[in-house]
Amino acid sequence: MAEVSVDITEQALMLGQDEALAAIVTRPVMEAHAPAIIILNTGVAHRVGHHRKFVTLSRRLARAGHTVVRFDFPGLGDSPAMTTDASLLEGNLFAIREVADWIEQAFSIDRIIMLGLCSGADQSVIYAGRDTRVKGAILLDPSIPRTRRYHINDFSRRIRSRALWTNFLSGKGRIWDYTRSLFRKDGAVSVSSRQFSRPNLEHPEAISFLEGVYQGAIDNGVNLLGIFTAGQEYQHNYRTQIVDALPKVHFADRVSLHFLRDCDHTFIRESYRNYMYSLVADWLLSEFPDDRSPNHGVASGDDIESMEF
Amino acid sequence: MIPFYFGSRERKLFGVFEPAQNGGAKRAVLLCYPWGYEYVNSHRSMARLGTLLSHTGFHTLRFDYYGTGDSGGEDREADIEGSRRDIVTAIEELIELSGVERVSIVGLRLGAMLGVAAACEKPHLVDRIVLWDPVVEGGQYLQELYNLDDCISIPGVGPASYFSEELGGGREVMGLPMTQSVAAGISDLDLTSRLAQLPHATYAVATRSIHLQHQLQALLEQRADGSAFERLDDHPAWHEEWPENAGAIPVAVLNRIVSWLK
Repeated sequence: MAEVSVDITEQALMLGQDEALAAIVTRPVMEAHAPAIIILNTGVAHRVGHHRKFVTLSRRLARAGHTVVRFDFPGLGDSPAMTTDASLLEGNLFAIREVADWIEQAFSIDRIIMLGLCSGADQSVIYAGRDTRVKGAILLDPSIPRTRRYHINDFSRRIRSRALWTNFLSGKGRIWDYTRSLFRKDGAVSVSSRQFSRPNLEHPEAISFLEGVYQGAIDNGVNLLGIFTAGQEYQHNYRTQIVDALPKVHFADRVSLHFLRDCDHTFIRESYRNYMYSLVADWLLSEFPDDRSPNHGVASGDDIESMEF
Repeated sequence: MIPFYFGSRERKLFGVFEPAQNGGAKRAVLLCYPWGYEYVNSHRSMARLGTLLSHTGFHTLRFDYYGTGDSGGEDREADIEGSRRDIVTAIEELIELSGVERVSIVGLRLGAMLGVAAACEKPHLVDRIVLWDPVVEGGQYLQELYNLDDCISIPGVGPASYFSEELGGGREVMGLPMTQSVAAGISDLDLTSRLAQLPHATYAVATRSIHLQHQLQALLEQRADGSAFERLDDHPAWHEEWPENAGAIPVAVLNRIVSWLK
């Protein structure tokens, strides 16, 4: 079941005690001791990820000496749904533990780095506080509360937006929708088909929960890499927002932060993905400098831009 | 459910085989994914269809073309002629796994077109064909993709890059490279002319009005072998209008495909 290339192998497996977690294990052919990396689903997208980025990333990280497992949570991708009394979150955290256990058993690697985008990032950091094997978490657009500075930035951006003034002068947009609603008998505001339900992360309970999650990860010895994109402009818009949003967390020097102003949430452009890959690679090299395999520094592939890991 | 790699050492393909659940099955179905951004969007529905078919008594195999999904190869190594050959490889793999003599093909979007092209090469190994929201004319589909990418209005997204000859030429389309080779391969595809060569019973189902629909419908309805065209009001599995249909599965379409294959 294994695919072998020049320097890495890929293996398709069903993991877990019920063999119900569909996973691809990508690793160097040569013995590797660098921390293993577990990549989680983004929303309901399967383990390949949008624009195949988790496949490319897995292969590049494997060439740099890491064992990488991308898998599907129960009910997503190729993993069948499981009948359980546990909540969705608890079921997913249990699945991650099964994968971590399998990695330790199969390869004797007891250091794990979590990686996820959006909901995958949120679950990564939650799990990071619950398993002492986790040494790092790479969080791509995790959910964080908005702050006063966020709103100032957002107002400043909107006021400079040509679309805002065009809409204002032509009687379109949310401002006019709201104004018109004030004069309607029922007071109902028309709902745009683009609006969707978002969790209120600014609620004190949500902030308290997130502070507990992040502090838990920090207390567990986990180093964090946070990469935020402009694609979630309704939720974050500057590099250090997470520090301001969760003031009770003692991040100290345990977190590296980046804000990609010209990048969308799923990294749709190849240049965005390549930049993200390089940030991940640089961070891994700085946080785990002595764990490289002899493969360290190999080109990422004949037809992919070479990148030093 | 058995995830595995098959194919040659140079061209490893990732597939998921689901054996028939009711025992004694003598029929098998190969599922052919769409291409590009449509692949990720449709994976959930294709996986569900595979499971439904398996529970109904069909052996099923779905797989990723080389250079796509979990299969070997980098993005730029994907090509249309290679994908057609991958389907032939997958047909032979499914026959070997299931012990049947012929398989049915269910293809979604470009997968429908590629499935028909593969069936033309091995008509004796195929019994029935399902075209799900099929791409009928390659050139028109290609232009549709370019237009879609050119109209992206997402915060942070700039214009598509155009690639040098060394990188295969072409441009980015919805997150993946559309090399010159792939674009030329897609442009050359024409569903109806290929379909006219095939003797197999064919069912086409469309959730939206499709290009050259009347031509396809007429071609199928003139046959006396149970071929049919049907328009069903359901979600397009391959296109996500986030957040309206994120993760939604077109249940009516899946049930209709299963019942037609039965």
